[in-house]
Amino acid sequence: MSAIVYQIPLAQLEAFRGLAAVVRSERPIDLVAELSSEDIGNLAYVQLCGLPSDTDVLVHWAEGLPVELLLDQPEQKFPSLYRYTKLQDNHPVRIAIPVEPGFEKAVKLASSLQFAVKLEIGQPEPALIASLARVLDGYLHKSTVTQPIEFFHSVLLGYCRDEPIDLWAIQEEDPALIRTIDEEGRECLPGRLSSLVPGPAPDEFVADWSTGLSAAGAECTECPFFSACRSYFKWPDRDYDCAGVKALLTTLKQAAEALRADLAAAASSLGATP
Amino acid sequence: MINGNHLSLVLLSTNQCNAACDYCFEDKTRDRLSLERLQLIIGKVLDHMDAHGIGALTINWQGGEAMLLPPSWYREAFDWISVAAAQRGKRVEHGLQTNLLAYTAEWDGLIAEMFGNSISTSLDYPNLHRKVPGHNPEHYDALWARKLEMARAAGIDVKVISVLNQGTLEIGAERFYEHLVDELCITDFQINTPFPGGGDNATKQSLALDAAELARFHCELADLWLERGQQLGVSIGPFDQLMNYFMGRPFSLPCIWGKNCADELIAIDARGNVAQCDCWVTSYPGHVFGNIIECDSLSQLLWNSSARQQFSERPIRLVQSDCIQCDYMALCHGGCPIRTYSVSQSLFEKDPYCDLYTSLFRHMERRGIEVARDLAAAR
Repeated sequence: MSAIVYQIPLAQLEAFRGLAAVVRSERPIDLVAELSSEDIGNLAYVQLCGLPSDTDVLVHWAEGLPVELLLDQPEQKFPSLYRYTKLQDNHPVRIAIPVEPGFEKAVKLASSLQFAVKLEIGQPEPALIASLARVLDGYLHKSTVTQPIEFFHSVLLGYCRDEPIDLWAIQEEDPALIRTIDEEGRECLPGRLSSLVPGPAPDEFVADWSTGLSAAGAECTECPFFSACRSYFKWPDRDYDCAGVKALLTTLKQAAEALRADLAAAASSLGATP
Repeated sequence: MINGNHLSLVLLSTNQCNAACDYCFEDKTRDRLSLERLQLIIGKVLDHMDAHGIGALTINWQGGEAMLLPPSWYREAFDWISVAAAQRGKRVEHGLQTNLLAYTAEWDGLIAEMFGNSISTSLDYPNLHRKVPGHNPEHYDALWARKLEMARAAGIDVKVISVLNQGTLEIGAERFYEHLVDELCITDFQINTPFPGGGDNATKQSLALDAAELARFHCELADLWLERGQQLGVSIGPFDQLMNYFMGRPFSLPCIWGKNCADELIAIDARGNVAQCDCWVTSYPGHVFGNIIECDSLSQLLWNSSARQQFSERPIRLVQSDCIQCDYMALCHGGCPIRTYSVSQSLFEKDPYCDLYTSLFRHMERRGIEVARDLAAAR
């Protein structure tokens, strides 16, 4: 079983030193000042909040350490991604983008600048499904998209390789894998679960949630994507209509099957096993 | 701020030129860099690199005409820069862009040592605008061809930049390719689009080319290269790099399509003026970032320059207009500032060759897919 990763504000780092962590901050210069090389060794990545302006200090700091940039208000703020391209000289950089009106432009620019993308998808409104379908089409078919767009990327690879898929893990919202530390130092459930009071067995949250919905006869019972999704898209509104996201997952599954067939054909022509 | 791992510097060793090309964008003067000034400039460039952790520098030597300074000057410059850079743990590479007119055998040793025995020159075909003062383009071509032959005989690899004109479009891609590749045996060249940079004149007013004709020429030349040249090791920019891009290979696109050229390079002229690139540094005083001789710190000069800030903001502004809708934004980012400014007198418009670029990108993407399929079928 994987160790839990703690998503920690820099100000609370002292109490959590030595744990596997993601450290978040709005001030890059503070990251440089306060994280020791030992701390950096325990980091999965650092998360930059609020589109900070002084990221020059990170260009040559902790080279190789992944950086995630939170792009809130994507419709208004997406052009500012140009200011962060130099970080890529020495860091893998991912842009976390909430799926809300205008996010499509942000994804397009992020991909055009060769940033990886993580969609904070939640429960997208029907009006956003068409945008998501266009983004997915770009991810699958546009030669100008060269970096991963999550969750698409991990789901595609999972289907292609016939490996288990876990959307809660991909979206970094499974309490068995990740916990958030709030600004006051309290341990919370991650992502969209953060408003919940942690129960006695937070590791069991996803299993409890998904089996509960299945037992109640929700849409999940018959869903072909249940093993990958485990009712991810039913949180927090259990009555959310999954038709749109199922269409996205269907497209991904079909693309993975086509890709697998192509790889098998290519391997066969080379006399190898895929 | 210019930071990251690499700095590209266009350095004009002189603002003087021995040619008088009608379409030249530079405002030429008799200024030449002294070695003392060069040391001052390079010292401040290295200070900037130290301050921002930049480990590598490429100096692209240009003019005016760079060969108007003697090889002995470059020899001293090379030695001094090598020592100064090594003391700071920096790597430096040098490139030379020259019209070749002043080339003699005296350059051979220096070219081998300083420039890796490879230089870049310019040739238009047909030549309508490149001239030696008091002579016609044919005279220029004959002189240039003799120098090319001499350089090649000395074993120097000569790359060529060719600016297209109406005559080029009229003779067509086939004849153009034949002349450069089959007749002149040039195996590495880049085609550039013209722009009316610098002071105005009648020639510059007539440089504009029909976008559809230009696109057709590019696509036909790209196809000729794919059919005839690529297998033989002929390299034509930007087709070669676009092909790399669309086939998922490592690529290096020309600066006109950079994410933000303000983050990548600067030019410094023989007076010490600093600007975005050689297209700006002598001809557009209002867009000069400052003077490196007069400033205390290049980093501060760049940081405080409102002119540079405009270049930096350009792609951010453009992406808020129709560039975000383009399928090929990842390749172009609104295109080249000087091509834009010289036509529209604004930095905040997209490149006037937008239609050409999108046609070419689409064509190369299609050809990339075809080549990939052919390769797969051949296995």
